[in-house]
Amino acid sequence: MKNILVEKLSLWQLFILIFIFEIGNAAVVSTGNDANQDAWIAIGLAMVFGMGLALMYYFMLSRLPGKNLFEIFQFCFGKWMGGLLTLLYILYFLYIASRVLRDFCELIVSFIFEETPIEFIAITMVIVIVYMLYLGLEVMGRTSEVFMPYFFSFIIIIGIAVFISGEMEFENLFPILGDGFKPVLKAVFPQLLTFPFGELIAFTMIIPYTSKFKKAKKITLLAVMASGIMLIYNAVLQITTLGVDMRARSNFPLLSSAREISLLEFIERVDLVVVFIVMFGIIIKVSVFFYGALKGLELISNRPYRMYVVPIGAIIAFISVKISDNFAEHIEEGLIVVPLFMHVPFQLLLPLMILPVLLWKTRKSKEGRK
Amino acid sequence: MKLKMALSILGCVIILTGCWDRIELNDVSIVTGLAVDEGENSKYRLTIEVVNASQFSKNQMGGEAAPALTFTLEGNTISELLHKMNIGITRRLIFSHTRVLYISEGIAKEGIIEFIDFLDRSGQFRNDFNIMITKGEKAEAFVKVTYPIQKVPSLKVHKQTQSFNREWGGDPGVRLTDFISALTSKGRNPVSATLVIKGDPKKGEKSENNMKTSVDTLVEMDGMAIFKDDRLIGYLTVDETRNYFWTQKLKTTSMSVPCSDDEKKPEDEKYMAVTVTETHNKLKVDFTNGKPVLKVKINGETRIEATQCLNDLTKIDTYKDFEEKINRYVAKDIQETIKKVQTEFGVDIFGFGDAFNRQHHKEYKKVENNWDEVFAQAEVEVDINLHLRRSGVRGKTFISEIPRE
Amino acid sequence: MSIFSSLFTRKKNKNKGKPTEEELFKQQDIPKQYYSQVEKNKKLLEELFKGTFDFKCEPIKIGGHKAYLTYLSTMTDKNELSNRVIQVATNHPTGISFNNMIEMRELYFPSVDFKVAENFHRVVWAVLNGEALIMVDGFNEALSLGIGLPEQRAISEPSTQTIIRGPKDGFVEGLPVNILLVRKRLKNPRLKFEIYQMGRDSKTNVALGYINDIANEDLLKEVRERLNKIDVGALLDSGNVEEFIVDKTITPFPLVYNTERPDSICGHLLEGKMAIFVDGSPFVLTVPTLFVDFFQASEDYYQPFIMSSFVRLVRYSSFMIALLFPSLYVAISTFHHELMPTQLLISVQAQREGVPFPAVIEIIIMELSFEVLREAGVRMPRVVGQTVSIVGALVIGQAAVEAGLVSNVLVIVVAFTAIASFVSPIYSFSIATRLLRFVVIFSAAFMGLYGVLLFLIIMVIHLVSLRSFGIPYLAPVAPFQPRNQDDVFVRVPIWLNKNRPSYLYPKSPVRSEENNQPSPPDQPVGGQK
Repeated sequence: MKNILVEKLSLWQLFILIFIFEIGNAAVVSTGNDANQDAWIAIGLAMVFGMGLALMYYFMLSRLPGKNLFEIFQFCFGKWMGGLLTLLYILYFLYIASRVLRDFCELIVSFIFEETPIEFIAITMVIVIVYMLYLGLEVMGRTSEVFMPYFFSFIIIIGIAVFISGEMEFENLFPILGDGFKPVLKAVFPQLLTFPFGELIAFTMIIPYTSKFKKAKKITLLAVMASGIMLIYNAVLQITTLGVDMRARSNFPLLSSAREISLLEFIERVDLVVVFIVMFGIIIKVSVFFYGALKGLELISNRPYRMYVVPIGAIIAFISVKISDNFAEHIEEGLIVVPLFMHVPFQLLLPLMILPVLLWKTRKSKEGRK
Repeated sequence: MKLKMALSILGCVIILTGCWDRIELNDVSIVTGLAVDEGENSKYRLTIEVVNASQFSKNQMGGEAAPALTFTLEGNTISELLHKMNIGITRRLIFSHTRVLYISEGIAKEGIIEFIDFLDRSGQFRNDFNIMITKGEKAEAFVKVTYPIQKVPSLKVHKQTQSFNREWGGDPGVRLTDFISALTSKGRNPVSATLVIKGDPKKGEKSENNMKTSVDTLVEMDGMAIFKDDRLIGYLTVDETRNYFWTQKLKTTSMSVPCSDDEKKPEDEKYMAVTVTETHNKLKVDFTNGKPVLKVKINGETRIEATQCLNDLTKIDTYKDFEEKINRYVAKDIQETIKKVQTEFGVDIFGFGDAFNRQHHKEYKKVENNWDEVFAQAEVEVDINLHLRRSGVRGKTFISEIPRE
Repeated sequence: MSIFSSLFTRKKNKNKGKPTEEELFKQQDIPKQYYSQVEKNKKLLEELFKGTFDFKCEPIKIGGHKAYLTYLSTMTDKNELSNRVIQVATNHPTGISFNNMIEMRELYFPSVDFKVAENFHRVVWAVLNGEALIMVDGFNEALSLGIGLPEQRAISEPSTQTIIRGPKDGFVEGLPVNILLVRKRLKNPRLKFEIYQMGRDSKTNVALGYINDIANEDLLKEVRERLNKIDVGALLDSGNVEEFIVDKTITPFPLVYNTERPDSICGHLLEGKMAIFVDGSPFVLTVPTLFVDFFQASEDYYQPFIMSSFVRLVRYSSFMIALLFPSLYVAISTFHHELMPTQLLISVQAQREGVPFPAVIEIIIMELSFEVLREAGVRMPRVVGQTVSIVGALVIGQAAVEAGLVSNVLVIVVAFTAIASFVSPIYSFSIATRLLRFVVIFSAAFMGLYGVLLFLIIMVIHLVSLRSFGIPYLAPVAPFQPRNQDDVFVRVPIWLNKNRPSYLYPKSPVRSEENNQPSPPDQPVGGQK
């Protein structure tokens, strides 16, 4: 590790990271419930908007190649203003990282370890994440490369296995758009657009470090599309298996669907496999947000981010436990407060406000160069 | 270095404090059956059946003992009772392998929603156990009837229903999720299979029951129970259950179709035995003149297994004739069952409402809240399309060759 | 992708067949011209064999002519050479003239097998073949004398990596012999062997072997640097060298590959790796080393590719079994009873009935006693070894179960794990598995399957962070390189495997351009109509 200071991510690694990041916890918690049996349409729609968002983020980055979002802030608003914005984003990233972690902890303690304290799960998960981030972005990329095949194929296999077990009823998907587009739109905005697609904002801290920045645009869009398709598949799987009502009532519908699997009288009760999928998705998702926050700290304090990994990790574990008293509070915050008061401003409004400034400044600098 | 120190301390903390949910296999009892009765002093009387695993070991120590044992408690919620069971038995209970939930008639008539919620909510229960309404005896009697091959009573019932469901279709194959989604849907009401005990339940408890070739006491399938919301309102017989299952997920069954259409006494009538395979069933609701028409459409293949009729099975015409007879027979049966449900119970257990919702969402919304009444008055059309494909390894029956006086 | 497409689309072979001698040497950039000025030839040869320690070019005088005796010291028998060539040449009276090489040979070395090398290609060829070459000034051809290979101790089958099909010779303790074994297989003038002396007390000869036009220059520099840094009292085995040159010591995984098989060393050299021979050790190291190397046996390349692909998958899965099976047993039987089907659960519970220990303790006792047995079996004299295994099997297998101390299932688990851990072709890798197994058992005992997963993720993070001489340890899986997948999880037929692994950055990345796919003849054999 002595002389490798510049961390580079290959395009394939970027693809995988985005893919796993998007699916991460979105596959487990129920999304798009407002659209009932049309949740998959809502996800598809959100995916299209999400690709638009990704394009916007990329456009911002491409104005100043090689600089991440926070460096753009500094470029646009100077050191103090930019620093303030950066700080806000750091807090946002940390908060979301803790929320994501909490999702997983809730899943574990309600499905598998009913007696285990939630702190224990949070701490063990954070240890893994800290270890990975301490070793750097490249290690994160490569780790996800190793787990990608399993992650991908397990999701697919769950669907196939449920289908073979005869628990799928495609009739549950009908009537399509029975109540028109309204519920679908309601599901898309703001909930589905911001979660999971808008969360791509965290990748503005990673995309600049890909080996071929030019091609990163195509890859990002492809990855968003791939993950969108996967989420659609996932939603269809849940709706056909559980039905709309049951899906809406399930805290973790993918897990409940996997419970229906029964093959050869031997392969049954495999919902723990889902936990693995989730676990890895969560690790990547938390790490990406975490990494974003660390990079911000690095920028503000001018010290290598590895210094902050352990303390910030401890903070994430702490916040994730203290974030809410009970599951209902956690979910309600996640569905109502967070999308409107955190996701929308940080994913949409602020970037949109920054964009004109950035365009103005870069135009000037380009002219100046001439 | 500091980091490593911190990590190792953290690691120690984790390792030293872990294992909250650890239970050794020796410390658990596997619950396979739950039986719910009305309590004498409180709301419920719960009987659990646990496996006595040592009886399944190759090198048994301590001689013959019962393969399963039961324990009964009374209380007001099922959940509390389950945790309280150790008042009498030694080990912790695990419920993930519960195979059958027996509910006594009395409880079912009062409504079962209250403890179904617990089963749905708990992460411990799975969706793969049967829900059975017990007729006649108390539910707790059912978990005590032994059987020589599947020694644990609930495992026996589970296997039995599975085979019956697959071979003949006399079990509606209802699981917890099916039950709940039928409960929550306005276009469908739940059903559940029923059981009876043949013979003396007291004799069935003893393992001597297993020594005989013809066991004294036996748990048998007895059709199914119909619910309105979560209350039991009536029963269908085994044959009617099959007819109900025709409209649902029936894949294979077998039946005796009379050779001629005219009504005769059963002993004079000649029959052919027909096996049905590969059936596809579809419910449709057509909306004509503001009134829904319930349609059942069944496609499938049949095979003649035995025949008492003299018709020549090498001729195309015979096939056609038989085919028509089979279709008419099945259509009549199903029609009768649906009519019976409509008139006697007036609840939609078939899921016509859901089908209606899928096909005519807007119209359904109008009648959604009083769907059962609409259902009770709706017309029924049954369209059976079973193809007779083959007739075993023989053409003509030898019966027609026997010289008659 | 191209691999698969060319598997299925049957392009007609425009196979030119194997390259002629001319083409071959041209490829290797060796001139053909043999000069009559011997100095020039010597220079060319020295240029070609630069950097390899066993190349000798000694001036002698034959009949007053200036001449050079050229040979590879590892490939020729020293005694024979001195008796039949050097002594003869020097003892012969001067002044007897000869007109060409054949005459010279008749005069001086009448009884030696010979060839006349009329061009430079032949000269190189002769040297590589282990012949002693005599270049005399003023003649435009050289004489090569077949002296024969040096005497060696009987080469026996490798004891650690036995195979069914393929060469059965293994390295021995002598450095020259080991180099000879490699040289016999790779007759390439670019195959270099550099020699180092290491150890203040032992002054051990260590040879670094590589193929000059394949191995990457930077890698080579790094390896040389690390070898030069070694400062140690004595080197007794290649294992000592290994510990000095790895990138990271605190890891259970071996970052340097070792083998007793010359053929597998050749394979590695041809991929662009470097081999490190240590005098006195039959184990030769190759660097850089990747995770996947430990799942490839040299036999894979001698068996039909479908078979060896299957066997390779078996190896990967048995690695997982050896690592995880006991911990899965612990996790499932103490945390996740619902994962087992009912019947299985009942019979497992029935067997555990009356066992006094918790599952973890039970499995650790068994695993430890197995490790003790294994260690005893290895250290004991061969004769006693058998007794140990019988006693072990009886005591641990049967008596413990009958006494009700451990359950039957557990014996099955431990036994199967043990067998699976022997599948790895390289011993040093199976040590890693053995060690990690205990870690994961503990982790499973405290956290169930969640613990197993945590362990796996941490292990993978650790693995991807490892590097061997700067090359990512998990390449070509992570970072994923689609072009290099032809020899990882499955092996494609050799004629399809056209490229050298690019993660080693070889100087010449292509093995062969030709489409070598075999095909039946166009015309029916036997001339049917």
